Amino acid sequence: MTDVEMCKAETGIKDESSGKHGIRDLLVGKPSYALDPFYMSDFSDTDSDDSTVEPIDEQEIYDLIAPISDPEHPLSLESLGVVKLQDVHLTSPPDPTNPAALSRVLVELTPTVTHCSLATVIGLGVRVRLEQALPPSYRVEVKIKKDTHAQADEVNKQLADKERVAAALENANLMGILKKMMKPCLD
Amino acid sequence: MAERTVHEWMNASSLDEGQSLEETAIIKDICGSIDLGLTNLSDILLDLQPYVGADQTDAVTVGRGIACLASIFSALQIEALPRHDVHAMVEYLCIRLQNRAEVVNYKYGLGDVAEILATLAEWHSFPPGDCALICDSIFTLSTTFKDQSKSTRYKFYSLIALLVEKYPRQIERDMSYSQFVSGLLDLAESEGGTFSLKTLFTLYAKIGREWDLAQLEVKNIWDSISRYFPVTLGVKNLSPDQPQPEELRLLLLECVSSNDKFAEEALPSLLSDLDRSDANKKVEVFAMLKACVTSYSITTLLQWSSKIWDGLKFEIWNGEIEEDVQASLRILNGLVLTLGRPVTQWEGNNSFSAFVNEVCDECFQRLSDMERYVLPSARILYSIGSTSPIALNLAVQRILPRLDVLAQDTASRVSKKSLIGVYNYILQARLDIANEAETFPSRMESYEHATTLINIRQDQEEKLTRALASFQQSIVEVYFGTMSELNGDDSVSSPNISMSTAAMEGLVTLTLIPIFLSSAEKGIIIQALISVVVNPKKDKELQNAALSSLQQISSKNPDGYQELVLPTLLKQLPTKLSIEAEQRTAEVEVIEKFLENLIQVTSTSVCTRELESGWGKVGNGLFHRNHDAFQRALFEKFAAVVQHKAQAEYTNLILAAALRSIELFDPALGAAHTTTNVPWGRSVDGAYSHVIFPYLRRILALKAYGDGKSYIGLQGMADEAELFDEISIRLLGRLITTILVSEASKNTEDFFSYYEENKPLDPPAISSLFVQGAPKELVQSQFDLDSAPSEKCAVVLLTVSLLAGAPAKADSKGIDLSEIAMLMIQNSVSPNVKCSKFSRLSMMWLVQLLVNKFRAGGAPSDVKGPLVQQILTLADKSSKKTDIEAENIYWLLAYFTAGSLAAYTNSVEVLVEKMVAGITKPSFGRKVSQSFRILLAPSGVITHRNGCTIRSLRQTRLYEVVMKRLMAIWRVTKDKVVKENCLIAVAGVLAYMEPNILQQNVDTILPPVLEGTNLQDEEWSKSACISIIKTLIPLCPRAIEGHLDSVINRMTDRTHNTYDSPSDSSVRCRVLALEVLRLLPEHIKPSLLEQRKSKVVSELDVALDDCSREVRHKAEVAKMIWFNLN
Repeated sequence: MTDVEMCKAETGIKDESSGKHGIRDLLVGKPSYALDPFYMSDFSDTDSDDSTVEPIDEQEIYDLIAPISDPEHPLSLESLGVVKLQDVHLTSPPDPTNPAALSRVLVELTPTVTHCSLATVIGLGVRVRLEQALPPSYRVEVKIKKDTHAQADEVNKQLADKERVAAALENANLMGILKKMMKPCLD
Repeated sequence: MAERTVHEWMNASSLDEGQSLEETAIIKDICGSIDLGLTNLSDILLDLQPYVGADQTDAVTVGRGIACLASIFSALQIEALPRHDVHAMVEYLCIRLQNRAEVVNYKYGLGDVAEILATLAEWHSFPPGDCALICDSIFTLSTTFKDQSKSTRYKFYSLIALLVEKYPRQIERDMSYSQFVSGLLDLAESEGGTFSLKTLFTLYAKIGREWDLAQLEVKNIWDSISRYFPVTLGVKNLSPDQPQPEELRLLLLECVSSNDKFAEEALPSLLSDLDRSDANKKVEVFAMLKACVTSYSITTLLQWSSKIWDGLKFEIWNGEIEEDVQASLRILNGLVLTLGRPVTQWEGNNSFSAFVNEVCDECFQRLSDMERYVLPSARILYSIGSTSPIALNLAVQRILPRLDVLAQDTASRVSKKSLIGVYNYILQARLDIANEAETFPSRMESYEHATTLINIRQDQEEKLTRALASFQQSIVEVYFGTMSELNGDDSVSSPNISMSTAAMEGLVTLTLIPIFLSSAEKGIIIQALISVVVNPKKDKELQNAALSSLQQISSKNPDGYQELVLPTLLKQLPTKLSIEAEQRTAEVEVIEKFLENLIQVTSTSVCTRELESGWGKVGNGLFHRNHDAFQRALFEKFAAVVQHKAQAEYTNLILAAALRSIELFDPALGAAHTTTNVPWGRSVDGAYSHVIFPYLRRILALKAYGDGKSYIGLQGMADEAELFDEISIRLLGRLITTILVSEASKNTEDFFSYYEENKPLDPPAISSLFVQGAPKELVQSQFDLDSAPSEKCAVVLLTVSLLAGAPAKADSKGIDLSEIAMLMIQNSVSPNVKCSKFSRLSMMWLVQLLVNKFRAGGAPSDVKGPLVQQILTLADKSSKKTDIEAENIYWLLAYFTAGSLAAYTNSVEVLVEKMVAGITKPSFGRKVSQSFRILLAPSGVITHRNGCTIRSLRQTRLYEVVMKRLMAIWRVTKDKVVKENCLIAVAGVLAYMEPNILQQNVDTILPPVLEGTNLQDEEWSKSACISIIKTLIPLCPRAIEGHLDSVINRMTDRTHNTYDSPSDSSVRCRVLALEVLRLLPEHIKPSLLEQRKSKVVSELDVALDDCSREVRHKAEVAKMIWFNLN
């Protein structure tokens, strides 16, 4: 896409002559003259926020972590079944307008094998990803799903220990691995 | 006598520059003298003797002497030596090659010796008996041959190839094939040059094909050439003049397939390579096996067929790489095709049937054993069955009875879906055979016994039809059983969906096989597919599969489409829409879906039924039978619906469907004509005239004012109180233009000429709009809209549509286009023209088109032209007009300027100047400033497709003309509103500028663009400014660095959106602002960003809590990039 085409797309202008619309678009699609200020008699160009409120939900949290790559394979945690939508749990505060209220996120991971040696690294990656991508008012907890890993307790203990997590992030090698795991999230 | 001598040639080596020119001149002179008989070649040879004789000790001199001789021989126009002298010359040169006396200087100039011998070998006076002498002499070089240069070796191989080409019998007689092959292989023992190998492979292929080689000789050749397999030579240092690896690869294949005796050597080696080769080599092994099975004789292949099958079957059954599986299937297909070629015996045992039966038996055993083998086995059955009617009959007889038993076995290990897959492959093989049978006679035309061959094939086709008929019932039961299950259960689960989809594929094939199903059975299939399509409870995937099946059936079976598919699907459309709003909305959705489905079935491809039987037999126009029928049916529906009251929504859906259908069908039609070379018919009928005229007749009407004067207006729908609405006119207009610029129209008779020749007394179509019986005065009166009814104004759009699609010939319709333009300018601004805004806009489009495309009155290039003057006068007098009238003038000014600008006319400066003046107008200055965006924005009217002039230089021109003026006003004015208007105009102009223009002027545009991001209540302009910054970041990061704080602050101001402090920007602005923040770390020096990181990250944290999901997503991506800044 050229810059001009991108620009056109961004300004919401469709070229009517392109012939790539369905019946609905032919009837109600935005025509090229929609930007004509004289034509649009009720032309409204206000800055009012036209969006409806779309609260953060489990699906959005899942979408944040699903593309994270496995440290060993070029496969996503989603495709390996390590993260599942039903294992993402969100508890929102009753009053969303209260800025001090906290939301809680719990993600349960299912390692590919019960003796997976990289479960901690994967868990750390998920935790770092969510802490970066969710607003500061969200508290993140990452756990190994019950009966899916031989050393689940030990891994959970490490993942819950804030100081150990902070120390781990000081490790350049580990950070390198985490960055590599997060790379697909940028695509 | 020649004026130049060989001595001069020898001395020319002392020349530096111009040596080759001098040499060429000398050779030309000497050869000219010889050709004219003035000089004797023998004298030249004597002159050369001191330089090349045994006594000469200087290698360089010898080399130049031989080179001189070679140059003379190659430049001679006549054969300058008698036969006995040629023989003597050959003998002399061969003595030099053999060099038994071990003369040192004979080792030099060997390449030139080869060239001289090659020249002599081409002469008529060349004694063929000397071939063996030459070959023997060359072969004596074998021990030192590898020390020769690549080009010398190549010259010798070329010489040998020439002798083999011209004198094969003499070689056989005088030296035997065995001796020749042995000598050649010794010579080529360590050959690695690509040119030499190309010659050698060609030579091996020729002697393999034409000589009766013994097995030992073939073995020796295989041993030699197999070293090069797979060919990797020539891959490095690829140059266009060098033989390409692909060329060498094909020549090697040609060698191996040139002689059946290679089978003994090649096949065992290739089959064993299948198990141990890497992926790349395996590809080559498959290619060579394919070449072998399609080239070797049937006798040879029968000896090897079982071994080849054994080698390939596990590749197919256990294959994990699809390419390898496909290659194996292709080899199997080639093998059975070759083996079956001479077989005409329908029944009884022979080697061919034994082999096919062996393969079928093993396949059935496998497929009934394990689920995973079913699909590969089915593919094997297809690959052998599709080769010939006899092969398919053998497969059918061997497989179908047992498959039938398996289908009824409830304890079978094979799923029903897989079994249907097997049936599908067998039926597809049958269909392919039937399609091939249709083209068989035309392919046989050039053969000697064409009639006999055609009769045999026809007989086999009939026998195959009878053979399959005995299985018809069981096949039909399998498919129909599945379909009835499908129709009965709306909530089919995923595995059943894939089974149903497979069944649908088979059903399509069943309907296409000739003489297999009855019309009633085909009807049942079509009905079953339709019932899936029309059932809203059915799974979407299933419905899409059914639609695709219907589309395939319709394309190949237009009768079925017209008799069943089209009427049945159309019947699903309601007669009219309900009055009650909620129900009406639901009905509209259903209608829209059905129409989309019908378009999908009808218009995504052309009818291809006749392609299989050859187009020579049928007329043109068959490609669009289904589409024509669909469009006719659509109009009938339109005409029926329109009789009911309040059905505009419905009729517009139908009009939109007609338009959509042509938009999809026309490219498919163009592609079909291109790929098949079927010529276009010249009749205007081919250009969708049958689509457009009925709508025009039903929507438009010739009406009369109270004084009896006529005009073209709109008809009533159900009654005169309800006229067709603006959406109908808009859709009809697009339909007209789409048809006029379609591929079909380009290739058929001109619409306008056709109409005007047939209606010579009627006014031109652009004023009469094809309404018959209109009076002549309509030519002008139709465009006079002063106090006209609004419906007359509404149909101006149709004139626009006609002109948009018409050829760009000024005044081509015999009317004064400048006059119309003048009238339209008046109409579009006049308060006496009472019409909708859309109609007024149509008038401005008409002016634009007349100015840009038709150069109305030649005015656009002339600042003093009447049209420009009229506009300027209107603008000058606007201050004395009412606000509405003045607004209309500036509205028209924007469109007129845009049309002139696209055509790059001289009037642009004065027109833009008037627009700039308009931005200071207190009541509508804002709208004038906003209208700058019209100047470069993509237009639906001024397009290349409509034949308009759109010069690429217009952007630079506009920049030059307008930016300085706007910037000057922006800097100087103290009026806040005017200042903002300037920014809005700047944003409107720059929004559509090419990035390189933005880049060149970054320092000038950045300040107003940055300021433009702060505009209040100007969402479009603000978005445009942020987009421009986004475009500039990668193009001129240094300039952005100079304004870094300004950029970051403005972007974070836009993104900051909390409950307490809501953003002043829309979601689109916030998203764009985040994209700008995201781009900064990619292009700006990290040291500059590091200082600002904490501020940006904290603002991104705020954006992570935005109410919009899209904004949050952009924020988290930006944050991740900023977080990893180092």
